[in-house]
Amino acid sequence: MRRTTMQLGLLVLASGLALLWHVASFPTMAGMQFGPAFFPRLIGIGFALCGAGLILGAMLEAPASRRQVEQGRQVEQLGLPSALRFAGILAAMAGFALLAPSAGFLIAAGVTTAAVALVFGARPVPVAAMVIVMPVALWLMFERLFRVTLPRGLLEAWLTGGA
Amino acid sequence: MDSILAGLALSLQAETLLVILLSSIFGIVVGALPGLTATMAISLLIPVTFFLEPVPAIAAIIAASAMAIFAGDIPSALLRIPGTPASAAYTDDAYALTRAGRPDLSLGACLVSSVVGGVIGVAILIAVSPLLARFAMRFSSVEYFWLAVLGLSCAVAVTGASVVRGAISLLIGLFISGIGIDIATGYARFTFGSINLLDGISFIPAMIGFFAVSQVLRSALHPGRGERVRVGPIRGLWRAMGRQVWQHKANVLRSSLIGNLLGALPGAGADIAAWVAYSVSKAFSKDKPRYGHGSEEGLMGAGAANNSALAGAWTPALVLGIPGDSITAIAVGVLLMKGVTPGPQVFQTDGAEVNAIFFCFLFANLLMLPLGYLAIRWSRHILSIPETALMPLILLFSIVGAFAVDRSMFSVGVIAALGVFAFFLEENDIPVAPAILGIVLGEVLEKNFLITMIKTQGDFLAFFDRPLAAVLGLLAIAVWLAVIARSLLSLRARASTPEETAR
Repeated sequence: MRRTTMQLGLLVLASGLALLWHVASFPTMAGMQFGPAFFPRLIGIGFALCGAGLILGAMLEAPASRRQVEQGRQVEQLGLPSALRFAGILAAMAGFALLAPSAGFLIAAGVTTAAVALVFGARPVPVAAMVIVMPVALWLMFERLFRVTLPRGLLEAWLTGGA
Repeated sequence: MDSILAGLALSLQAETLLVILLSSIFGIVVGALPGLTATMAISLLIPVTFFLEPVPAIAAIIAASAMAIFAGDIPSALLRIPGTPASAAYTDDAYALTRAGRPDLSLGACLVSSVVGGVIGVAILIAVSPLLARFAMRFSSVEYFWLAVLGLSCAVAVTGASVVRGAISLLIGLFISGIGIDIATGYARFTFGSINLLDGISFIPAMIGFFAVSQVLRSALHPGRGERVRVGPIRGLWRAMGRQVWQHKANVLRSSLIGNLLGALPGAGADIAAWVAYSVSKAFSKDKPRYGHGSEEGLMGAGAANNSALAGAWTPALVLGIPGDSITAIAVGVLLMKGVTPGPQVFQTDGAEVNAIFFCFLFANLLMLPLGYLAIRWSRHILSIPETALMPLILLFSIVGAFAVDRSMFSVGVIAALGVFAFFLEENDIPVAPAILGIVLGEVLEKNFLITMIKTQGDFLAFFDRPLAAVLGLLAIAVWLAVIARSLLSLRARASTPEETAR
């Protein structure tokens, strides 16, 4: 995820230009001197200037930038398991969003807890305990204490009967 | 007087006291765990505050933040790892004292200076806020516009990273605040047809994403707390504390004042307050060589300053609606969510609530003494909580918290997206604090600009017509000129010695 100053500068400059391009499509309002595009346009200009500033800085310190690129490559080579862990966390969150509406909070939260704990290298027995304790504790906190209805899904009948 | 008594009654309600106690314990645990910041503790608390009354909601934020800032000192002293960035300034001193066989002295100094600094900070907050509010009654949209500009400018100017990176962060925050229906024209900006984005990015998922999810992602990529913690018995804590208070009274008082003043400066916060107070304390010290090698004096000064800064940040947040740091930025959002609008009128419109906030601040700082003592005694257990249990809990809490606010899976998507985004920013040395202030102040900035333009029929000179507005405007311009000059000098220095800079 780490980028050199030059790459970051180019990214910020491109974001600024993209913002300015998008904002150009905003309508002008009759009788209004400052329409919906005014502030976003200033932000776009700001991004472009900051991007240009980073690029200029990178060009002025060329040897340092080259070294950073080398360091960046080393990080990428060494970091494959870390990247998988990173992706695992995002997958766990996506899994929750997909699973919760149909399977319910408790099941989805259990799966997410197990996935994240395993990503961090937890052993099976503690994972099994966490899968039960954490979702149930949060369920009780939000459902009973804060009166927030969480998705019940497959456990609807059991939870309604138990309530 | 009535509102003071009403405030006291509100703060003494069983619900408020219980919330203070539980939030304090939560703040201590999060603050004591290296890598987890006070701001992250607060971001996890926001969904809970959503379901509380206004006073307990704010009490939760106050108690958790004060405790977390103190608790950050525990791993500093025992492991040489600051629990929160606010403890970094005196980590070497705290650890050196522990290594010299005096953990009682080290942790006792941290605890007592945090309590005294916090109480002095609250006293200043109580004394200054009504005066500032009376003065601020004269403010119009022009002054509020310049205050927002000044606040955002300071946030960039005082950031530890390069000014350009600070400015990028600020622009990101302003951009996020601009998503949704435009306040003046009703035009939907950057929604790309999504109904969920019409109201903009909700504050709660944004904060959870920025601080909690990004922390889990960072821990996944850089796992770092696998080591076993060995903490020996800590005895004689009370005795050590009693002696220290009196011995360093002038230093603690001076540092508390510095901390409070810097805390009120937008963007500065407890971290910078601790560093500055440490330097000032060293400048006044008769024993300068001990600084960095176990100076009780430096530790007490900086320890008092960071807790005093917390209260200082509340002065502009409460009276002007301009937050002093990320924590008060979140607090302003929570106040607005609870129907309490920060501003000079807050003493009239919500006098009892404001006084209750002051009392809660005081209770939380006094509670720090017994709870801090227990936290130090049990520190070996707190520091042993494994990452494998902590990270699933933080992530699950983040997901449920975001979902519970609007019962929408869209919020879960928002925390994931902003978590990745905040992670990317920090990996590239772009500080997050200016973005948070940008999110909170973006609407204030745009709204007051447009109101002024409508009132003056587009006359830009109106921004300098009123004397106070002119002073604030010139101050903001001066900050930016200083920032630009600093950047150009830094560029010139790098251009002339590229090899040295690279090293």
